[in-house]
Amino acid sequence: MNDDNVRHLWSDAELDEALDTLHAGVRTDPAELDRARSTLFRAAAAEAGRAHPAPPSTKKRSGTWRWIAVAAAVAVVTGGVVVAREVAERPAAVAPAATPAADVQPGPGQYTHVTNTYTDVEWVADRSAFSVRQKVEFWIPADPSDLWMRKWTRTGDATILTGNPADEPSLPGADSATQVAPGGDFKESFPHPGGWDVTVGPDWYRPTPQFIATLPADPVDLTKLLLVDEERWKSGKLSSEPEQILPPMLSYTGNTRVPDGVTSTPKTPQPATFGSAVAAYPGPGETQMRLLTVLASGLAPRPLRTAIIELLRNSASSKETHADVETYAISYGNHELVVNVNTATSQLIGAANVTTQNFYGISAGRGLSSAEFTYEITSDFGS
Amino acid sequence: MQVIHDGPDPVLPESLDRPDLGVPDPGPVFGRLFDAHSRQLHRYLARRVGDDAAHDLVAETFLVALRRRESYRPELGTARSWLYGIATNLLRHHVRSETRALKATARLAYAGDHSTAGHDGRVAEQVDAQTRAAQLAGALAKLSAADRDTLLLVSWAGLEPSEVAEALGVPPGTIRSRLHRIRRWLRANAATTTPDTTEEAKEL
Repeated sequence: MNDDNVRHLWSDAELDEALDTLHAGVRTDPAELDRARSTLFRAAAAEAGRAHPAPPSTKKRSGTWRWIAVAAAVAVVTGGVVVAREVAERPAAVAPAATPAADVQPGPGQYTHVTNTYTDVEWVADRSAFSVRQKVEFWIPADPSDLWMRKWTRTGDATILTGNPADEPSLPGADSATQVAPGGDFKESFPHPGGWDVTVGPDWYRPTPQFIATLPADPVDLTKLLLVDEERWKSGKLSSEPEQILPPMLSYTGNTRVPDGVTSTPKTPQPATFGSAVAAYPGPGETQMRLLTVLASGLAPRPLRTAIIELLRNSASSKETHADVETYAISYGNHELVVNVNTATSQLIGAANVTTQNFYGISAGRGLSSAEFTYEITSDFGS
Repeated sequence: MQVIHDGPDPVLPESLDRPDLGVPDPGPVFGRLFDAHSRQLHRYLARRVGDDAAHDLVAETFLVALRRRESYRPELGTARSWLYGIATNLLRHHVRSETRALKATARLAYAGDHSTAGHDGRVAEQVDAQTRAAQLAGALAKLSAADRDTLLLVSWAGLEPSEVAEALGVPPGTIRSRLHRIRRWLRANAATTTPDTTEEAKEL
């Protein structure tokens, strides 16, 4: 081995030294700060002449079922593959879905192909919000220690939520990224929030096959385990980043934040994601996010999926059934998480994050994001 | 006359740490907030996007805070966290320019590394602090915006992880595990990160 073959790892001290040094020579112009301060005082004086701002209202949980324009997912089965398609309104008439004879597992040389097609909110010029369509795919090998692949795609398709449609050309265009990693231990940054960091997992939010094998398929036992893990999470022994699988607007770590410059501000602070609503008002939503992450992973065997679905069903503020599709609404903060499952296959087929109050110009009842999940067994790695 | 602090944000009395912003005349309390935080906020923003853009962002941060003062809830975090959260939102409009600048810094390191080796005959391991910082720039450019915010709010803004959690609206445990992951990745990859001219050209 020569020097060229040695991969130099920085120590913590070297990293801290580099952080201290990089861009350290900045200058603050006192005159510029004076100008900013004067501007602030003029604005404050103008504000003082207006009405006293209303105090923030307390948290309001809504148990009201609100759909309106939220896309609902309807399942059909094609050749054993669950496919979700969007409809504009709540499904009124859904064709019965076929029931697969068995819970298919990948064989040697095969992969579980998980596709998460989701929408995310992008803001343009502090005035227009668009729902932008993106997709994350995973190819999980039959032997989970083998090579995994993940692929992110932004199609460039967008639907306006509020503002000026003429702003759409300012949105980011089509893009994609593909990565592979043995054992699913992806270490590189990824456009879809991610980082399957096994040094702090695995756990509910990094559900490796080994972790999932430890989960009981009995709903009572699963509940007991969730309660135990809740205490472990509080003491910092479990991670809390469902960022590997869930789409940004459903997860805690979505990059989407509402610009502060938008003109139609709400009277109360409103988290932008269902996850951030959970973070702002800790409570049972944590548990549902954990269950949803495992269910979305494509790794859980059918008995476990059935138990998870039962727990989600029991925690829902309302439920609708049509053929094999059950839809649960889980209210939290100013959001409602809408979950669609296929009870014939015990698979998650869709989820949506709905605002239940007027939200920065987006009217109550609109879907801030939605996601559809499909699962198939394939021999094609990455296609 | 306003007081400008040169060091880190001072330890503030409870009333200014979590002030009541819903007063009829917000001028005095915002004046105190500006005096307490503006200089350190500018330094943080300038390290991210440059001196000039940072001056604009400081002014904008406080104006947005004034307009949205009714949304501040002391029980959810300090005023400092709230201000840095607003600034982080505003930084979203500068992600591309920040990334371009980081890549440009990284290219200097790449060129400097070779010229140093050729001139002095020293091996690559003997990089000085400036070169290492520039290597770090290349690695920072590869982080997601959320990861970069998390790391630099701690390292450059001097916020505690709990304050970063308040600023970004995520649980403290998330910030701690995210920091662990980011630092681990940087330690492993910063030294080997090279400027990605292809990606840069695509963006331009």
